[in-house]
Amino acid sequence: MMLQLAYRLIVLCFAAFLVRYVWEEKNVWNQVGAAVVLVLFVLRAFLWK
Amino acid sequence: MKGIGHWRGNRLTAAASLLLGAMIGLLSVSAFRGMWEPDPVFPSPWLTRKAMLADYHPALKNTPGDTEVFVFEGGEPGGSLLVTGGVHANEAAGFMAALLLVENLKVEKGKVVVIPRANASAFTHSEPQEGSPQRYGIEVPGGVRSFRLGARLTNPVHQWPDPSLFRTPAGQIVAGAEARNLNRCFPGRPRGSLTEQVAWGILEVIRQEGIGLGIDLHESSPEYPVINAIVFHEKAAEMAAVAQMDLQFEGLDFRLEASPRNLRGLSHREWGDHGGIRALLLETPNPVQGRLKGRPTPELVVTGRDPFYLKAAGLGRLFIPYDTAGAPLSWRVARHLAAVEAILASLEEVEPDLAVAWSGLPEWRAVVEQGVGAFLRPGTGGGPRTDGGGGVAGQAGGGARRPPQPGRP
Ligand SMILES: [Zn+2]
Repeated sequence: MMLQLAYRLIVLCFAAFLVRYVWEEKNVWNQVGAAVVLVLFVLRAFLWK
Repeated sequence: MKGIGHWRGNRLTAAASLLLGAMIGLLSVSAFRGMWEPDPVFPSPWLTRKAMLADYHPALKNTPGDTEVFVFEGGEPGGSLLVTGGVHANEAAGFMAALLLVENLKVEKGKVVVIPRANASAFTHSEPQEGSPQRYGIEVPGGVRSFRLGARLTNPVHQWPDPSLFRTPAGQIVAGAEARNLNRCFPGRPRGSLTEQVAWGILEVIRQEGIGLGIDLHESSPEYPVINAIVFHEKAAEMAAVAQMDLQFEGLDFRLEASPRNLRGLSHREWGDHGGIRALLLETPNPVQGRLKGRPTPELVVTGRDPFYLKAAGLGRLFIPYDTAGAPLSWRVARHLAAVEAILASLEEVEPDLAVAWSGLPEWRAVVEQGVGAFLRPGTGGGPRTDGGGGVAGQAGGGARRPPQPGRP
């Protein structure tokens, strides 16, 4: 249980980093790409498929 | 390619990308969470009471391991039978045969307890890395009912991480992922992992309901040696032998497998050793869970017709007869039903005081011919069925099923 929480916390930190990256990035394709990675990453961590 | 790089992003495109991502996320989440809802079960009007596993082991309350327990009591005193389906949620015929009981059963003598989704958590996800279909459909009178195809193991969202090696509650060391295999976790641990607690809950059902005979319904891949089989605990050896003879007379080929004493954690071993009951496990062949299958589709779950298994059968690589008729779900459910009834008949012969008698169930041949869906309730309402569901041949492929066939090819 604790491990799972820790894992999700790390995912959330990385997700926050990705959000900031999309926000700052000047290339639109990088923005879209990072947004998709963000979704996959968060879904994988919280739904685990 | 260079031109693409020059598309300038700004705060507006950033916000749009994040919004797009969030929308994809929300859509996937709602589709995904749909798998967490258990498919409805419409019990027969003769149901005595519906309980939950947590009523027997309270620690399971509000956990994904809690599951429905259907109890049918007859007017006459007699023995008591436990039937479990869905110990492995990817073995559709086990769940479906248990569902067929719950939706039709009328117990005349003794008591019958049915748990159709023994590992409820395993129904909430799909077999990973297999391209498994999430659902399959069964034609029922007046429509199609859709069912979840689950996985063999407990959902890792509910029990994580796996140990590198797992010591089963019965003391055997097995691969780590087996910690999520309900059929390695018997007799369970009251304060163990989710899967061990579910196993403990089932042992509590055995103790609290005074069960005398337990039948665990499974399926296995057609290339697996223990198939079309009755696996029996030594306490049930005589019954299993009598039942097998009866089934042979009916034209249903079953082999007898003694439950190995050194294989721990399995229902047919621990229900007998720890629950003190006569324990049996039934296997039917299911191509969709095998290694040789082609594309896993909802149709394959229902028809069991796969060209690669046909080829393997031609090469003599299977442990069962397999032809162009495939191994339809209805035929597999019918085999389970016939075997359970044969076991009850032999119980009456061996231990008349512990006998259980029921009515309301279709004859196994009718399940083969009309499809299992003809004997399930229409998905929309609970009310009692108005007729026998005549004429509705499930997509399970009606028509004449295989004639009795001798041993392996
Ligand atoms: Zn199984």
